Amino acid sequence: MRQIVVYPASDCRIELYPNVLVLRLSHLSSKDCRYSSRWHATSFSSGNGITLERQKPVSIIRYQPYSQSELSTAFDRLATLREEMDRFFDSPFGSFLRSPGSLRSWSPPLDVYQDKDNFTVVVELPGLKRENIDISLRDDSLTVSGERKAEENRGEQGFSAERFYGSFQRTVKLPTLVDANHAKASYQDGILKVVLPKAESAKPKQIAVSVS
Amino acid sequence: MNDVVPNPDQRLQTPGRATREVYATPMVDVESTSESVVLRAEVPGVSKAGIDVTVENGNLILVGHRQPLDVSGDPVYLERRPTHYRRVYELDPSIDTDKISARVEDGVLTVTLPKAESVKPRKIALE
Repeated sequence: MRQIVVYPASDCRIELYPNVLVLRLSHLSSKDCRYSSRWHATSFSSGNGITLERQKPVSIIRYQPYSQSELSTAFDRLATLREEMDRFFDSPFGSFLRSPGSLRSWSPPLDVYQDKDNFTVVVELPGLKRENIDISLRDDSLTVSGERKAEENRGEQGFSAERFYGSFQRTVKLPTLVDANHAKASYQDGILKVVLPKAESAKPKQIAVSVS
Repeated sequence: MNDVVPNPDQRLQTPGRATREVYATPMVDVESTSESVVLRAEVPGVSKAGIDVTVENGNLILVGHRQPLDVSGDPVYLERRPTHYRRVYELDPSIDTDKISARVEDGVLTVTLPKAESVKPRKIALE
């Protein structure tokens, strides 16, 4: 049984009807409100948060005061958030993400690939400067961290933020040891790619069978 | 799992069958000043060649096509959704569509929409 708690922010109202959870966001929405169509509310304590338990499907309607000329974009966002929720709880590497505070923090998506010589870790980090990305390798654990500062003077006539700001950290434990001295990292179009050669001792080896 | 799940970037090109392009909605920060409205859209993996910004019938259409990533090997663990990006905004008539400018850097598309002179705040002098 998995639970998350949704905290209403000052510009977000939560309305609960049987089987339908409605989150009303003002145009200056923050990312404190999260929802997913697979969650159904088990309890609602006023003033603090709603406890949602993962069970049977529930329909979620998101009300947006600003108009979007294409309905499909609203459903795309729903699908994206639903996937984020699934990813959040299902990921084998993600058990350390269960603390409630991490719902509001930036967790850039990452992939890990391997071929016989290397591991490749790909992280989506748009809008960062190279000097703000920190990559460290310890034994078999790779940590990518950094910070993206929000701009000052955010528009005196209004600001609507969807992107994450602040600091992030992702750690990946690799299945085998890697050679830190020959690791290479590149950052292009907002995608960080780290290539980690496997340590010699970890590469698969053929063992010859001798006939005696 | 490695056999069943193809490298997701390869799904961007599916030879041999009718392709239906998949677009995700990028996250966008919208900032409004007295001079202009600035949109910053996150489109990682999209380079300048893949950006398409059009204004049509009072709508601003942002499209970003990404090239598949050049990665060798099989996936071990996947979180990314390497889709193309598309988002449409309705433009307020006060936006001067001739002066819209856009640039992309490190996976962030910045579109600047200048407001027409008549809607900028004007001080009225006292007689």
